[in-house]
Amino acid sequence: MTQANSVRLPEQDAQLYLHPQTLARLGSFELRAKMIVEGFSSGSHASPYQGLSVEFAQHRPYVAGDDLRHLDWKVYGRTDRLYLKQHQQETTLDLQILVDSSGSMSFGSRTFADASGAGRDTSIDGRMNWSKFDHATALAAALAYITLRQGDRVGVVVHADEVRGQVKRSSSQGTWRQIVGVLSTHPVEASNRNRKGDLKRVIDQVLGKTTNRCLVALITDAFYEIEDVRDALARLKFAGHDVMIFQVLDKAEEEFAFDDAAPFEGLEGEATLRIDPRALRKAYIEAMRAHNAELDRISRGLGFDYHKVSTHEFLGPTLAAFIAKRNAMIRGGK
Amino acid sequence: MSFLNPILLAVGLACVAAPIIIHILMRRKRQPIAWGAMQFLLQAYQQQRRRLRLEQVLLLAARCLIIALLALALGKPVIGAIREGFASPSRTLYVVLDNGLTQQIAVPGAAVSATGDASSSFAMAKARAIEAINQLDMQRGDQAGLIVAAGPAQGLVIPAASDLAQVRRVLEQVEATDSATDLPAAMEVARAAIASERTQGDGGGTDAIVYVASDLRVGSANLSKPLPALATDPRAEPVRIIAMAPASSGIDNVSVRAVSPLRPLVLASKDGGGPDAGLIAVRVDLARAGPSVNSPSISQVSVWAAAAGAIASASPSESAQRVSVNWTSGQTTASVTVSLAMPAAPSGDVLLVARCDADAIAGDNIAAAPITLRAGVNVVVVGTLSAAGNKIDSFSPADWFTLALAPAQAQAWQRLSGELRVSNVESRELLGVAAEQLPVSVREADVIIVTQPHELDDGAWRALRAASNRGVMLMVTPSDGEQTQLWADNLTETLGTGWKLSREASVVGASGDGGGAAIAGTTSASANDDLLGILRPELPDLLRPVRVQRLLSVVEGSTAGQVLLSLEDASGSGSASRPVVMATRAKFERGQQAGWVVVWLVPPSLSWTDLPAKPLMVPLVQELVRQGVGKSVPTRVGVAGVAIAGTRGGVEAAKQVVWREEAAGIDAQLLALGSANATGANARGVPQAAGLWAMRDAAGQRIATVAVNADTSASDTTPVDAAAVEKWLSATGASVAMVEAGASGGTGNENAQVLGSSRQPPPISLPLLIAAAIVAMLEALMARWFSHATVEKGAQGVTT
Repeated sequence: MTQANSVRLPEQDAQLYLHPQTLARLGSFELRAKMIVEGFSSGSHASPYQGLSVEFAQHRPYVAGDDLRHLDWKVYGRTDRLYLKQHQQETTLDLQILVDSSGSMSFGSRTFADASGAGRDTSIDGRMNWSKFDHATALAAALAYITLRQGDRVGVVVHADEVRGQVKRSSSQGTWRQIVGVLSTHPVEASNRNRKGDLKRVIDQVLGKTTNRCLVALITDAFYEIEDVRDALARLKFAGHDVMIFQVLDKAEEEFAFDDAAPFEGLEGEATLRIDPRALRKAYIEAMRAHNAELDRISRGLGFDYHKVSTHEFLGPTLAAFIAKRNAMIRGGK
Repeated sequence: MSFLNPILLAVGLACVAAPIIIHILMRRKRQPIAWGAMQFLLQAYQQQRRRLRLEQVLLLAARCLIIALLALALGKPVIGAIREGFASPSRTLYVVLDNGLTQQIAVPGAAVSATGDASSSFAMAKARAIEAINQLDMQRGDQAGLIVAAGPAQGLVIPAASDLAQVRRVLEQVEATDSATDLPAAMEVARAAIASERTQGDGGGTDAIVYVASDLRVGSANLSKPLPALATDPRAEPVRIIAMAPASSGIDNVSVRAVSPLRPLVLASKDGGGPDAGLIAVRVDLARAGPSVNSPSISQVSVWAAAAGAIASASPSESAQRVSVNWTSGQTTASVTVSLAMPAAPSGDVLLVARCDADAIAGDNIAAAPITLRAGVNVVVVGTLSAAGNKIDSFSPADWFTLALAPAQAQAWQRLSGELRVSNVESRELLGVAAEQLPVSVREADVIIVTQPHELDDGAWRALRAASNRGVMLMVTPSDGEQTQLWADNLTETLGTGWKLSREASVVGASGDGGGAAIAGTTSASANDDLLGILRPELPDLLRPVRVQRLLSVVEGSTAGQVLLSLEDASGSGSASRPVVMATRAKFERGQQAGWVVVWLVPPSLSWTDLPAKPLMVPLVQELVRQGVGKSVPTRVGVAGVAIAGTRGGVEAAKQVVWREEAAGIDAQLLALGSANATGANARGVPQAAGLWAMRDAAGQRIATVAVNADTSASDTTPVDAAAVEKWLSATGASVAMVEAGASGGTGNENAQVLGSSRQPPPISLPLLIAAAIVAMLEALMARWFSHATVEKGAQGVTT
């Protein structure tokens, strides 16, 4: 259903992910990193690495062992003191977007027509509902688009139990097309159904290919064991990455507002549960809230950002609130 | 446990499957929901799993219970599990089995089984009673008692026994009798048994049931006699009466109520001369009942006389007379008079038998009466005859009696040849001699007339007493010449008559004009005791000219006997008129009756009264003598179920002859049975089977042969209204239920139901229905509170 129907080009599909309203809101914002991320190209992001750069940063007294190349001989000549001349190194933002396509991401209770701004009633593969994965790809595309507009490098990884699709970080002209292509050719239904996500493994795979420090955007429903999430985040932290966690949740998942008894089939190969939802609602919501609270707590502990994204909300307000908050934090941090 | 509606029960119980099926169907129908956040759902489920599972089991159990309760309620347990579970009262069943005459009714069309049973109402009642006993449960503590209702009713198994098999055996051995059913007495036995059981037992806890096994026709259920109150204590468990529904169809039945000689004294002389010589006039009383009473019909009766020695072979002899009784419409009783030829043996016992054609009740088709044939009656007049040729004025009372007894025979030898053989003895011949030295005429006398009692000494009075004990009739008159009658004390003491007579005669009536007092009629007496007999219709005319001048009076005890003649109450003062002739039967020491004693308070002497010269004298004396002799013999005819008079009730039948038509269509037979008591007589020595009974006194001395006839008061086969019977039974304070008798003995099913439930059960069991409703409400609440969840595929994330 994917190949046969996909007569549309990935560029056209991108409209699905970048809603015009969303782009309109995003265009006026700069995407800034909270931390200075090292990058190869110069840009608006400050780098903590002081080295060969055009912009002077500061002088500091020489201590034994310093590279003599950095001595400011002019100062020595005037004052007879040894000072090192330090320059502010400018970096680019490396954004690595990880989109979760595990089975649970295929859930969605919102209709496609309601969610997509393109006036479509069904998805490319014919679904009537707006899944969490749809929302995640839209968010990923939005982030990628903004980043690319800033001239920063963006890479995308679509993963479930392992990396299933990847666009290497780049800021070149073709990157946008590649990203849209990856996001649209790895729908969750096709093969990921009943695949249980394995975040640790994916993070290991991503880290294995990422040498420089990045801003990692984790777009996932985070339906993992909390221990696995903690391990994965700890590895990212250890590797020096900054992480933004976008937890994509459906309203139905949060509210669990079912009345009639029905069998619930797990999307990741879990058991089928034949329940009266009313009986389990309270316990379910408690379990989910505890999980999310723990996720939030872990994120904060590691200095990461945690943000909950509901598929029933437009991407725009979510992103805008998020970026505004980031900018405020960056300014406040300086 | 049994159920009223077993089919409904089965259907209802099958409905228990309904909730289970619904449960299975429900889990198939739902479209599954693909769910991402199974992690939390499973977590929640695992937390709640125990509770959910418990709730589900509870729900399913409640739903199944509702259906099961509904099914039970519809099926209605008869001996409910609930009752059995708790203290279930044991039942005591008192079977009142009607084995009276009425129950002998042959059931028309019923097949006669090998034992001859099931062909009569009695056999059916017995079968139903056995079925009722079979419904009892020995393990539950049920008991059964047995009361037979044929008079005199008695408890065969009282108090009730728990060995039901034994009770059944006793019941099976009960046979139908010829006596009348006495339900009130039977109920009284039951009442006493219930009362004593309840006072002895721990009180309450037992369910007393009286099962009346009877057709309840007019003959057996006398609704005018109230039944005793069975349930007197309102606090005690109520008593229930279960009665077979009264028979609704009438059956024609003709009964021979009695056969009797017209005169009690039958003289065997063939050469007496009259046209009746050698013939016995026999009267046969018949009664009929049934639906054809209101239409004319004809009954055939055979009447014959058999010599006592030939009784055993007495099917109707050749000399039997067959007479037809024409019943007019509405007539229920009839009498025919038949003249029978004297049987071959001229003296001794003769048995008169009357038998009508076979009909519904066999027992009352035959009646018999033994009579004693006498060659003649020996009369001894004790007193002095006046010299021959004397004028009437100087006739002594002895003369007058002799004259009255043998008016045609002038000479003494002539007087000894007739039916009444009159001889004369001087008073002094009785004085100072032993019994065996008494004159032959006195020793063989049937009647002794004492005209000069003042001449007798104590020994002579004792001799008279001994004669009286043999049944000899004594007639005593005052001594006409004596002013003071001292003999009266001897009479009272020796014969125990209970009278006290004045010693001096008093003058009665107006003096002069030869008037005196007139003699009026007499008090009436029962036919058995009436010494005036056939004279009674003509008595007023004969009495009219008679006047009494002097008279002894009765000081005390004038009511101790019957007053045959008394003075006319001229004053109209209303005071008791003075007796002239009194009669009673002398009493034995042990209370038995001996011969008649007739006391004249005036001697037949012209100085006392003009009676001897009047036309009354001859018939009066002759009738007194004949009746007195005829009625001095002990009672010869009894009724089944009634103690025979004069036998003190303790007389045992040593050898008996019982007749009963064995089966319809077979001629009546007189069956000689070897031993007594085994059948026919109840424990108190009252014969309950019709037949000939030899009565013996306590010393084993044979007194007489008695013909016991069926109690024809029970011959009325008319059906009784069921509502009336129910009302009659309800008057005992017990709750009454009627069970259909069933033409072929029934299945016993109905018995069981009635035995089991103490009150009229509602169509469905109310407590169970209420329980079902309560459980249904609980289920609704639980279904709201509870919910269910199950794991289908045992898979990841679920550990059990």
